[in-house]
Amino acid sequence: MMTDEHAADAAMDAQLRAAGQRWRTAHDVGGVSADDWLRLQRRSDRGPRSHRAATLLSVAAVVLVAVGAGAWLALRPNPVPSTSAGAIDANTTSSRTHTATGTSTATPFSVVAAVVDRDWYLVGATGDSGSLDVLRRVGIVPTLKVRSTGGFVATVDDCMFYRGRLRTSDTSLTITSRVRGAFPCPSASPEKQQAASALLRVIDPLLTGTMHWNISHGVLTLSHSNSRQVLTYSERRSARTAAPTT
Amino acid sequence: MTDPDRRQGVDVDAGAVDLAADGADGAARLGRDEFADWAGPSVSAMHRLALRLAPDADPQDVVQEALARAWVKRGQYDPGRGTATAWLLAIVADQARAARRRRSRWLRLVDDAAPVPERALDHSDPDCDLERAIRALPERQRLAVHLHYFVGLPVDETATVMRCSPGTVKSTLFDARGRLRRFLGGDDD
Repeated sequence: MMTDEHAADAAMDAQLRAAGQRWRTAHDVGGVSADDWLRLQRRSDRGPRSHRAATLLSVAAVVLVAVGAGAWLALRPNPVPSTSAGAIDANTTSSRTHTATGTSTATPFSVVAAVVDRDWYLVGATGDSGSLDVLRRVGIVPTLKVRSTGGFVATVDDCMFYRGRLRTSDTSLTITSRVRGAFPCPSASPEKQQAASALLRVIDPLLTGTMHWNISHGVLTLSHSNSRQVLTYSERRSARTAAPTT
Repeated sequence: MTDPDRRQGVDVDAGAVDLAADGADGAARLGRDEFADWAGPSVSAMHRLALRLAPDADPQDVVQEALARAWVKRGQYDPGRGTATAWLLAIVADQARAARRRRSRWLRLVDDAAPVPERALDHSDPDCDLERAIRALPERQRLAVHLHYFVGLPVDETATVMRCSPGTVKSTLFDARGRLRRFLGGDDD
């Protein structure tokens, strides 16, 4: 009967409203605010353009100061050797060298800020005997991506990957909650499957546990303290360095 | 190389969200502070929806990914088509769906992580049976119930999030209530 149907529906509606109210009360979430999120992003999403602009500005400022200092020295009645220009050169050199190491970080997100929100392309892995080259020949470049919250994903090919979280300390990165996709794409050629599987076996002991990290000239190096094994990633997709094969 | 993230149409990880990609978007009117002010009031609702839609994922991850998406796409927000909260919740719903899909995919793929069952219901919860029944609803009905009853959105905002008309939301909710009654044994039909 329609009336009964409406009454039952109204009762269900009331039950859901009451349950929803109880649930909202029980889950009065604070969590991360948009402000928190943006504060994290500010540290991490300075894009290459702003980085380049800042570098250009600082170089221009240094050049202006150097020219001014040179002119002042040349026009001085009794010039004396000055060390200020040397100091400026030293500063300039250091500012152009983008180097960050695990030993220089003190805050959890400083590590992430150095690598976050960009693609890192694998250019070398200790122990790899050519699998990476095989994959690159067929257009597959293993990547590493890190997000601002500390999550990461590292791909070997379209189907084989690692993901998890990066916990940071003053000196190291520690991978936790690691999940591995260990099966090659069924549609891939046997050569591709073989190469991807071989590279996964090489990467597996490297991309695990606690690692030291270093970024220099756009190259991210991950290494274990108790071994000579390293993984090398570049910001440039086309980069290829001689892979360490120790 | 086909990037698996892009191939799936979702981010495998929020690292794939390229925040620099919005640089060329001249329509992005909100600066960072304005964006924080604009999105801030909706964050609680976003958390609630993430909790409801992806109870086995980290809701903060879902919200953060949604905020990252919203930041990149902020130029696409059209106030004429709904409130900011509705727009943001629609993004959360997409991200939660992606999180669920990723989780099921990973659970099929991984060989070094034991399968994790769906988060168990709290049997001390007086609404335990109702929660179980809600989980058994079809996806659209479940989304409507979560948005309207648990996040607390009015029908018109629920419609905006679900990208349908308010009338469709009403009928979806009606169908959901009927199905819930049957699940709960309160309907003899």
